[in-house]
Amino acid sequence: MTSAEILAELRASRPAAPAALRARVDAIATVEPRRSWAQPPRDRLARALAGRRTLWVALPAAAVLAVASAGAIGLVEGGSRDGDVLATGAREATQESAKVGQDAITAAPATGAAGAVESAPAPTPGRAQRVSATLTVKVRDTDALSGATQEALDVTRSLGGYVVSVSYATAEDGSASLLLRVPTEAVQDAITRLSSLGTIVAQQVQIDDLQEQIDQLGRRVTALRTQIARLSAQLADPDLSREQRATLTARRAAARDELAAVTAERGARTSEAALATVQLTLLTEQGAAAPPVPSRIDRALDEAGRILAWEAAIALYAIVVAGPLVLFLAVLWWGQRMLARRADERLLEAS
Amino acid sequence: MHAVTIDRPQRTTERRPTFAEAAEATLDDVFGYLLYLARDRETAEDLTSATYEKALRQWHRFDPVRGHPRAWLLGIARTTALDWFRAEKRRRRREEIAAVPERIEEPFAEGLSPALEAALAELSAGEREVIALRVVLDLDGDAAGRVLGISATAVSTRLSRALQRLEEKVTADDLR
Repeated sequence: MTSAEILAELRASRPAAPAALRARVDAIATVEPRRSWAQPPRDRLARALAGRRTLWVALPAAAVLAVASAGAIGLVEGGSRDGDVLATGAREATQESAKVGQDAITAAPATGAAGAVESAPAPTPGRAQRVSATLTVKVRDTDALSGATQEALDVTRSLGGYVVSVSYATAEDGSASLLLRVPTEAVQDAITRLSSLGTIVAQQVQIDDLQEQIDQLGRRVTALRTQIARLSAQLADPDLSREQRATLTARRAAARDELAAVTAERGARTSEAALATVQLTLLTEQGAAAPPVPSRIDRALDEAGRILAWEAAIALYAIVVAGPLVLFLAVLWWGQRMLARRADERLLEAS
Repeated sequence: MHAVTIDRPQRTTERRPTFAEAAEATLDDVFGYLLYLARDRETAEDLTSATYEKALRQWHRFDPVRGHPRAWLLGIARTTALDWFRAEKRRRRREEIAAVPERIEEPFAEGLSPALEAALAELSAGEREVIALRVVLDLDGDAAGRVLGISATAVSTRLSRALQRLEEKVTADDLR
C-alpha cells in the first residue's frame, strides 16, 4: 500500500457521528441559555476589551489621560499665577511711574527705593553685629552710571568707609559692581544714600549677631589671664621640684598661646562688627531690563511639561520596581505552561 | 494611462452562529478527531458529548473573528480527551495492581482496511491526532497548529513522521 493510497483511504473513511450521538448533542445544543454563561454574546466593546486586546486600548488611553491631566493641571496652575504676574506688573508700573517724575536719576530717591530703604532692617545699636547689604540700583544710561559710581565712592568715603573693589563696564549693557565697607553705625545712612543713586531694583540686608561670640571670647580671655596669673604665682614658689616647674611652665605657655589666639579672634570679630559690607551693583536701563513675562499659554505648556516629566519619572520608577517581578511571573507562567504541554505530549505519545 | 481602483480589503464581519448551528456543523469532525484519539467508539461518543457540554458553558468566550467554530471546538475536544487520558492512566495504574488489564481491540473507524486499522492502532495518540486533523478532517497547518498549540511547521514535521511510521507499519503488516 503506497502512501497515496493510505491517504486516500483515510480520507474516504472519514468517521461520521452516529445518530444516537447526534441526538445527544442536539439535546445539549438546544438547551436554551438560562444562566449567565449562556447569555447572548457580549457587545463589541466588551469583547474588544477582553483579553490581550485590552492592552491596545488601555495603553493609548493611559497616555491620553496622562497628557490630558498634565494639560489640565498646566492650564489651572498657569492661570493661577496670573495674580502673581499682575502684581509684579503693578510693581513695575509703580517703579516706572516713580521714575517718570525724575529728571535726574540721582536727584532724589525713587518712591520704591525710599520704601525699600525704610523697610530694610537696621543694626541694633550697642550690639556687635555683622551687617551685609546687597543693593542693585538701576540708572538711566552709561553717563548716569559713571556719575553714580563716582557718587557711591564719595558716599563711602564721606561715611568713613573704604572701597574694597570696583568693577566698571560700559559695553552695551553698562554695569558697575562695587564692594564697599562702611562703619556699621552708618550702614543705614549708606544704604539710603546709595539707593538714591537711581531706582532700586533689589535689596538684601543680612544681619548676624556677633555679640554673644565676642562676650564668650571676652570671658575666655579673663579666665585665661586668671589662669596665667595663678600659674605664674605657683612658679614663684622656690620649693617646686624640677618636674612640677616644667609642668607648670608648659601649662602657662599653652595658656598664653591660647590667650593670644582668643584675643586675636575677639579682635577680628570686633573689627568685623565695626564695618559693614555693602555690595552695590549699578545697572543701566538696558542691563536691568526685566525678562519678558511668559504668556499664559507658555506657562501652561511649561507646567504641563513639568507634570509630564513627573508622570514619566513615576512610570519609569514603576517599571523599574515592578518590571523584574512581572518578568519573573511571566517566566514562571511560561515555564509552567511549557511543562504542562510537555506532559500532555508525553501522555499522548504513551497512549 | 488609466487609473485602477483597488478596493481596500475589509475585515469580514463573521456572523456569530448559534451554538446549535455550530454543533450541527462540527459534530462529525469532533467525533472523528476524538475517535482517532481514543480508538474506541463508545469513548469517543462520551468524549464528544462531554466536549459539547463544556463548549456550551464556554460559548460566550467564542469569538468568530478569531477563527472558525470547528478549530475552537476541536481545541476543547483535545482538552477533554487529555483529561480522559489522564484519568485512564490513573485507572490503569490502579488496575495493574489488582489484575492484568484486558483490552478488547475493536475496529474504530468504518471503511478502513484491517491493515491500516492495525497500523493506526500501533501509532501513538499524538501521531493519530495529527493524522486526524490534517488528513481526515483536512485542516490546514495553521488551524491544526492552533488546536495542538504548536506552529504550522511543527505540525508539518509531526505529520510527516506520523505518516512515515504509518506507512512502515502498513508495509510491515503486508509482508507478514
